[in-house]
Amino acid sequence: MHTSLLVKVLKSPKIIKSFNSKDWNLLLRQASSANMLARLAYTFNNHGLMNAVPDKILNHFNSDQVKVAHLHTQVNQEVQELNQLFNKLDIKAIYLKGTAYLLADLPLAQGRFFSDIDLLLNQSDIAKVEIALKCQGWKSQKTDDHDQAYYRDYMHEIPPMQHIIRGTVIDIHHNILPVCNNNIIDISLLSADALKLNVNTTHGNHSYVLAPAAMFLHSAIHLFHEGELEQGLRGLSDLDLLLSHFDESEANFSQQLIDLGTKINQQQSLFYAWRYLNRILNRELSNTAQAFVESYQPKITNLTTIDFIFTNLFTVHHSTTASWRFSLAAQLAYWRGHLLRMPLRLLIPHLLTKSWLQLSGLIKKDSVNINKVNALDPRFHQLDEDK
Amino acid sequence: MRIIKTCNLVTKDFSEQVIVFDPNTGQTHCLDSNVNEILNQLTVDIPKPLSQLKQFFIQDCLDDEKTMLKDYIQDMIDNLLQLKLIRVYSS
Amino acid sequence: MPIKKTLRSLSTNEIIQQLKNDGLVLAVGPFVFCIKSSLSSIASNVQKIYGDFQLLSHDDLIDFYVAIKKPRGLRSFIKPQINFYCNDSSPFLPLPASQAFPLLEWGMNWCIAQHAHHYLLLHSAVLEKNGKSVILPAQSGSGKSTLCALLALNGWRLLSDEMALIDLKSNQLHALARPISLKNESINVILNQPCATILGEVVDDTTKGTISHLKPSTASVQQVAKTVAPFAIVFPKYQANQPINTKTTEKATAFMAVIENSFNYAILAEAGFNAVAQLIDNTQCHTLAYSSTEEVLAFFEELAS
Repeated sequence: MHTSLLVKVLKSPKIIKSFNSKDWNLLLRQASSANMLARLAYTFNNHGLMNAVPDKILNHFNSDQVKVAHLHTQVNQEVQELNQLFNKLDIKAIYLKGTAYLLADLPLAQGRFFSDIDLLLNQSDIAKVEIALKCQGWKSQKTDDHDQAYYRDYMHEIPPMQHIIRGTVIDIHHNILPVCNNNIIDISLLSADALKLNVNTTHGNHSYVLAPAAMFLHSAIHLFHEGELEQGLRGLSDLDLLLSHFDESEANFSQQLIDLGTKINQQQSLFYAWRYLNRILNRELSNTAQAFVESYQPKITNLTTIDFIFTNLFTVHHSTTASWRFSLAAQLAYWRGHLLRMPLRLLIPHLLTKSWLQLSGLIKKDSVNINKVNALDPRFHQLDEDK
Repeated sequence: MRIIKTCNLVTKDFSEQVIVFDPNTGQTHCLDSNVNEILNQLTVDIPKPLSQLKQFFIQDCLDDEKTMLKDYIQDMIDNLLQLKLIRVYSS
Repeated sequence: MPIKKTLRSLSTNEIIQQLKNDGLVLAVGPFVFCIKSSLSSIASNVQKIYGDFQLLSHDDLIDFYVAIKKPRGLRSFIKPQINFYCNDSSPFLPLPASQAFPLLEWGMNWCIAQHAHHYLLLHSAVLEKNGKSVILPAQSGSGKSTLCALLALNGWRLLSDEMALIDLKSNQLHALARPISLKNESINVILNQPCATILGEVVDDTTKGTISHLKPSTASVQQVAKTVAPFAIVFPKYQANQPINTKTTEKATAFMAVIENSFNYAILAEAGFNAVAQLIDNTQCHTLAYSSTEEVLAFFEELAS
């Protein structure tokens, strides 16, 4: 098995000083597959390594940073609109994940793509918000009855909503794990210390982000419960940057994490986060964290399997590193993700219905972004366009 | 009503039009060049009463022109508000 | 100066093998593509159309790894289909296998439009004569590609058929000298031109109709590294049976029309605004309604004189 060059670079950025063209080609391919070009650029910049990057490669980094900046402008715009709506409805909303990192002005927001705006609302407020959003041009993305029912009955969120003109997608959650999960989290414990965003007058004052420990734990819970880990390394790198930041800004951050993790019964996610940050990205742990990792007894029968899954998923990414290990690990993670999210008796009918819908062609895969670039796509040309 | 200009606007003047880029929204607008006169009278931090702004433009006008000009300025202001290039100041 | 090796120096078999194995590495203007495919129609078209392009190796820095291959799964046995891949991901839905080469061309354009944000990218043709460049934005009904091919066959250097690359730092136009894609009747119009031209395979039944590619002239490809300052922007419109009619375009109108035709103006934000402002300041802008080949060639001749 190839070890991912990307992981080596994340562990020790200065190795790029001795890179040849082949190394750069490989790094570029792996980093763009992992959606981490702009993140790498941020890392190199922090380590004063930009001079070591050849111009040709630098263009790719810069292009990605330009795209991230554009995304952030768009998200800021949407957030302004949303905040006005929450003000009017007098509803408390907590922004999660990428949007939260951006709004809280955390260093990891620089160089980070995200596709949706994630929100956490009180379950009792959701119906009100959904109607208000529909009035402003947002439309529910899942339209077939099965998906609607699946989301509403078993999930921790409502189907994603997309703006019909701007194309932005909002994901509204009322919990951070499916409501049918055996290990349901008391969300009020996680959101208790949410921080009001310091926003100007047009923003209004109903928008929040999770407090540091809750933000880190949420990110970890999300990463280690997800079925699709193609972006796994990016998620781990997020945790890495969050930890660096909060270890400095917060007093006793490790202990805060342990306390909150214990309260919401998510010590296992915290254990995984620290374990793999240390094993894969060589991250040094605080004494408190180290002691926790050593003494924690995971509630799983087989840590070797879990190590196999995550070590492979976080280190390999691309056809240049692909192996049987990767596809096996990916399969295991997919099933594990679903098992963690839903009890088996619910999972089987869901997967069966999904495959049937896909086979019968009822679900169309639409992977083409709607923008001017479509002019280059054969399907968007009119027959008479060019005389 | 007091108004202020949106931060960081970038403009390119042409003879009859002005192109305004708003980095906050990412939008580009092609507007009548008279809009520039209005934007030039406003700042991003010190709110200006609308009446004072109108007075500035109509001070040297004949009376019958004044009403028309006031309406014209009001239209431009409404348009700029809608495009978020200016906003009503609320403290 | 060392002589650059071109694709022509490879035998047919070598081209097929490189495409099939590690990939064929070509310099395409300022970009380097690694192209992989085991389809014979890709090999034959690449050989025919890209002969003058500089051949590079895997020891060079590569911008884009592209491939045309059959998607996995049962469906490929029922109806042969192919897909375009850029670095392992496939941005488009599959197409019938007969459209492999057009799909490669579209895909390569897509790579540039998605990733080259150190340029202001305009959907337009670009040509140059006597150091004077013209940008022809691709508005609907413009006949841009036909016009571009006509000029390229009449002494103009081809910079690009599909995309203007304007360097954000130097404001200079960079060339790609890619094949010109021709559709429907324009294929015959161009075949009727006196200069002998090499067209790629004619492919029917794409969603665009019939399509083929005109090989860029050897001179255009050899001068691909030569940048040029923007000189004029001409917004063409084909109007059957009408005499030629040209007008100077208001600068503000031209500004907005350029934005309309840009692939990445919005993404570039203020840098894009500044680049367009510079471009408009430095160029003359015209609208051009035309139908006759002679008249339109004469117009451009005068523009470049």
